[in-house]
Amino acid sequence: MNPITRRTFLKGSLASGVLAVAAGAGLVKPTSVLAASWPQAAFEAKGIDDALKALYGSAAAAESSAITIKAPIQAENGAVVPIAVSTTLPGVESIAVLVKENAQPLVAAATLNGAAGYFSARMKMGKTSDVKVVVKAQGKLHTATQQIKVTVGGCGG
Amino acid sequence: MKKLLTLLALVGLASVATLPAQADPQSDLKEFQGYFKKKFPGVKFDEFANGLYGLPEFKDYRKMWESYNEFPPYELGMERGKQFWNKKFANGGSFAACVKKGVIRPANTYPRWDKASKSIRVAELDINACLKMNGEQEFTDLDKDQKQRVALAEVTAYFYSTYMGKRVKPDVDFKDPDALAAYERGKKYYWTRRGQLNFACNHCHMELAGKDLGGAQPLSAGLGHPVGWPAQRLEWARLETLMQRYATCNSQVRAAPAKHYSDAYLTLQLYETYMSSGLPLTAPAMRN
Amino acid sequence: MSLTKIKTRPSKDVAGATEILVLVNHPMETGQRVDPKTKEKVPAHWIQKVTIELNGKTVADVDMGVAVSKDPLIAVAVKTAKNGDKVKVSWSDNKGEKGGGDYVVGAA
Repeated sequence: MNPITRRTFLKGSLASGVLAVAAGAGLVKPTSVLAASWPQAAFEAKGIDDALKALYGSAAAAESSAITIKAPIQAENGAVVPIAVSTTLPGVESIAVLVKENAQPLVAAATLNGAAGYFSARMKMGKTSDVKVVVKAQGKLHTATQQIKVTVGGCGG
Repeated sequence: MKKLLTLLALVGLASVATLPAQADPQSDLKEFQGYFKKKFPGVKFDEFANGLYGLPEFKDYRKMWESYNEFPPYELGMERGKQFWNKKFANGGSFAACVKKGVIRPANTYPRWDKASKSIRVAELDINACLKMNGEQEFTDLDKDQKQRVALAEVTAYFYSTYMGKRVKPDVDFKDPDALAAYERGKKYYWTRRGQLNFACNHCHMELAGKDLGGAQPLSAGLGHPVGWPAQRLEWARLETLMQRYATCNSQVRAAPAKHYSDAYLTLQLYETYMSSGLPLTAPAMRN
Repeated sequence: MSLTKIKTRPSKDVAGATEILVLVNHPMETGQRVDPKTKEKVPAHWIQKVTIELNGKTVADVDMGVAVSKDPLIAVAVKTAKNGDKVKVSWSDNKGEKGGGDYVVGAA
């Protein structure tokens, strides 16, 4: 399911310095290659802490009131749950959205490089769960959480 | 399920709305719309065009619905529908030409009573007729072939979108006894109990309108039902025909669904749409 | 052929910023859904990465997993965007399929 891609191979050769030389010579754009590999370990992690460690190297995040989560308290349907995250923290590098009760909590992670501290998406939720948002700003991790209720069943057909 | 059974019992005991006795569509209309104006006094008439999202009980769902509307997923289907609509046929004809010739009528005048064929025509049927008379492949096998049905729903949705906001006024001459009889059949369908759950349409969409069964099944008001269709349901992730919704609704009360363009569904769509006379078209829309 | 639609509008959440919204036609299969016809699990097929460029520079790189809804919508906001700026979106999925689109900020 995950063949070695050219990008993964290139990332592996980073250690040998080949890539660094190529980048210096202007042959390879650093941002496009370094950002090219998909963080598989983070997306496959079964717990929030493991996902954060794989993504950011640490799960230690400070609660922050400077993060706003706009999401329903009761989702009408778990297939399409909208969530919008905004933060006033300066120097935002990344925003990640995790659903605690999902088998693999990490939903999405946005690396921001010129974009403001804002990210919005629509996600799938299997059941009522805490949704944890982590913002990496100026090298530090900050977090906020909100519960979203999902009722499965009823007469839905 | 327990909550559902409690509500079922409530419905059995209550005898709030009853099948209107007289065979006069205009009086039926007044009574039907009056029922909802009385039940939801704070809701502006046009708001009923938004389905359950216009009801005060579903304010929270409405907030999320508004966020979906900022970039609704059905825009993808509509794009495909638009491309299909704009493509000229091999013989040089087009959907636009069919509209000019009156083969396809203004969206807000459907369903219409066709005197010549003594039948009800919905937009999808006239869209298919346009294809046929121009030597193009019609959309077929709609009950079983999701691909064809969704493709038809997408082009119909695009067609409807060009009439967004126009007020519904089905083109039916009730002085024609066959047309009146068709209307009566649709009305009877709406008010007849069916399925293992033994519900009629009026139970969920009149008495229980505004209630959320078990927290996962918000019930819309019958007033405004058809004006958002073709629509995209949250859980379907695709545009669909109104008749597909009728089929799944039948299944929800454990009743055998009827087929696309069966007399049951054509007359039901006629009755429902006539009961929503005067509301603005909002199709396509996100619906539950 | 998978459609990518892009919209821009003034951000409601970040003062002075332009929101860039991206909607992509994609099944986002989790790999757990059983096909009602074949009774087999439909293999996972999801968009892994969406890159958003403004005037040729990458401003956001979004990694996503199977939990993002079918026909994914994502949005970011950029303070420095002005009408006429060029937006370019490119995405790739786990099967190696790619797509994308272009947009001009403030276009109708």
